Amino acid sequence: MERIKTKKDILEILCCPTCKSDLEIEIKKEEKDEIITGILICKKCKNNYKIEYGIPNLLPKKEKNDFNQ
Amino acid sequence: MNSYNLLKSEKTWNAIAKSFDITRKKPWNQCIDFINDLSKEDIVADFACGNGRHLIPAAKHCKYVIGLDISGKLIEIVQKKLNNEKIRNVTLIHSDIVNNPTESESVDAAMYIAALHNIQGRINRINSLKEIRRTLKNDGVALISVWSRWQDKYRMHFLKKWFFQIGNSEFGDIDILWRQHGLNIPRFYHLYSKKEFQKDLKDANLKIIEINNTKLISKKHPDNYFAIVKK
Repeated sequence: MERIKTKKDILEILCCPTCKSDLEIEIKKEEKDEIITGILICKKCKNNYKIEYGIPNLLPKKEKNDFNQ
Repeated sequence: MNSYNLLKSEKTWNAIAKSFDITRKKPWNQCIDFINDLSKEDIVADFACGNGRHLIPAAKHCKYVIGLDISGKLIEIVQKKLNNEKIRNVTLIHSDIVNNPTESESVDAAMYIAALHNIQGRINRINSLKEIRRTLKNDGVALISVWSRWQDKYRMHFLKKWFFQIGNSEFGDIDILWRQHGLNIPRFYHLYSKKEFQKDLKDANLKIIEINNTKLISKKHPDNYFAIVKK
């Protein structure tokens, strides 16, 4: 698969867990080819998902609310 | 989706993560065989990668691996191992399989090992299998394993339940306590019969290439079923 060359490229095969749309990335900190801190934003439903310590947290937002109720 | 109770599941696995890692060092042969049959150019997804005991061999053999897990603590454990071994061709993602954040037709192979049986509610389990199917490329392949309901350890429990028609939960559901290292934490399981496993795979529109009974610990009756499936 040609499009996966670096750790950063893998974000291309990620999508929004809720609506499966593409994600946009806002990079806050990167090292070499890796995004350490940033935000993934769904192009459609606009949900935000954090990347911290190089790990995207793509647990759906809706579920968290369900749990809190 | 409430019945599936995502965050309860995350809390459970976070609580036992360290202990789980200590007791789950050795990869299963069935998984190693599956990985060895993959191409070196393959992109692999390990759905519910746990402590990474199958993710790491996959990363050493294949081009790139994405490892997903519901437990942030288990993800941290895997990240440490990757750093120690200087393995770079892995991305870890904190997520769950029912709400799979992987694009359609993006991976050559998927592993979904000993995790389907932790999802509560048949609809959720089938949805998770459909999500595996969606993610696979058209010629992609997946290895899926579940615990057996009729293994030696739980056989009597389910025979009694079946005979006396006890309880109103789904037949096969059981809370299994994690009792290592002084912990006493219940984990939800839906233990499978082989027939039910085959049915769920078919209902998710997955084609069964091979399905095997294995005895990893059990002496008499199989304790796990492994299926190799395609689209």
